[in-house]
Amino acid sequence: MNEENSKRSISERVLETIRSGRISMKPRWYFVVHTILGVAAGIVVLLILLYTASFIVFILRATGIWFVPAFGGRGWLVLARSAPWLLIILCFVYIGILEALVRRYAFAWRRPLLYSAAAIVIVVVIGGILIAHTSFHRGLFRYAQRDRLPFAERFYRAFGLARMPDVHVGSIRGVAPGEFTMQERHGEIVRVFIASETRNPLGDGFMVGDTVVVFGPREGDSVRAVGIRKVDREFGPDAPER
Amino acid sequence: MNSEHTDEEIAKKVQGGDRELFGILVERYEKKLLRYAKKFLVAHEDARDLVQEVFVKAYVNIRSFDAERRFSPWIYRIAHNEFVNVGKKRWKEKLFSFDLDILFPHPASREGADADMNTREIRRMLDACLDEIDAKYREPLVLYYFEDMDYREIADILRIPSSTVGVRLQRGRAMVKKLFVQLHGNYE
Repeated sequence: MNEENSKRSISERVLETIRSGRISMKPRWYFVVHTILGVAAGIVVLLILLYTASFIVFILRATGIWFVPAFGGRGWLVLARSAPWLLIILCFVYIGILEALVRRYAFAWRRPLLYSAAAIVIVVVIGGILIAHTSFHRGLFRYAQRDRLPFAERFYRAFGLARMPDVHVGSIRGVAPGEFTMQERHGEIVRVFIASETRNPLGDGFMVGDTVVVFGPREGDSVRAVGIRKVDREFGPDAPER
Repeated sequence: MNSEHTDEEIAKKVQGGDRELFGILVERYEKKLLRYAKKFLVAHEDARDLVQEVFVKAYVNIRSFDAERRFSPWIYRIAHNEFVNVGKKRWKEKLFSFDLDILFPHPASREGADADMNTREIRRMLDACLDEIDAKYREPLVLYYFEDMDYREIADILRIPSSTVGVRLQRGRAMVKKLFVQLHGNYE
């Protein structure tokens, strides 16, 4: 049988298989659905990525860590130590998945992988920062604080209200020479001591009601400020209701 | 339908339901794909069965072919996938796993970089030591020197950047020359 089979041309064998009905063409809609599913999967992964990246930026800003690199090497160290690495690693996993989905298309595989990966990273970083600046996460965070976010409540509260070592965010309640009192988001009042070496790009121009990020070690209810930076009210306890 | 009609025109007719015309495409590509299978898989004993399987898959999936594009890279892509699957089982290794070559751009690797060497000469050397060359380099060499594909077509078949095709051809040629000298002493 095999010998007889091999004597016939491949063309004859293929046509015979087709005529016998053992194989048939897949309909066009099958490929259309396949393409739509591929694109949809890519969009879903991109949206998850943008959500995660913007959430990372949001919690870095909400906890004050985003601002501490302005205070020099120690600030960078705190950023590296306190950054949500699990979420950042998750982002890289999603970038890998998105890259694998994108590389099925000619515009991606015809260019070095570095280009498409860099394009994804740029879109995610810029998109993440832009979304973090909108009221999207802030609104969800407020809902979480009021126990009105059933699914992501613990998630937002765990990250958004986390206390970071040496980083304190709050609103100024009273100002005195060389110090001020500040109310943190948790409601606690702390005294902040300003020394001559405190990095304070704004000088002494603090006013009651200002929201600040204070970088420095805490002992009891006192913080020895290494650096102070004024930030938007939205990060402190006086954040406006939206 | 005869030789005046392009592969793409015939494929379009087959997509429309004229299944007998698929035989013309099989006849046009039978020899080419057999040669590709034998060179890439190095004298695989079941090359005919493999090529038949390639045509069966091409027929089943022909409605995914975009008739505005060239048919040749499309069917070679199916053959590539089929042969790589066979190669994986045969060589018991993961073929074409992640490769740094596709990560970075290679501006120096442009088409025609082999102008200093006679194509016929390379073909002869390649034939003499094909089975000694890593499959990663063997496949672009076979497609370029035996199937007369250009960088862009090879890139579409292997789904790698054109510059990577250039790099693999460059390294493949260097390997061929080195192996040939080891086996035969010189280029003559």
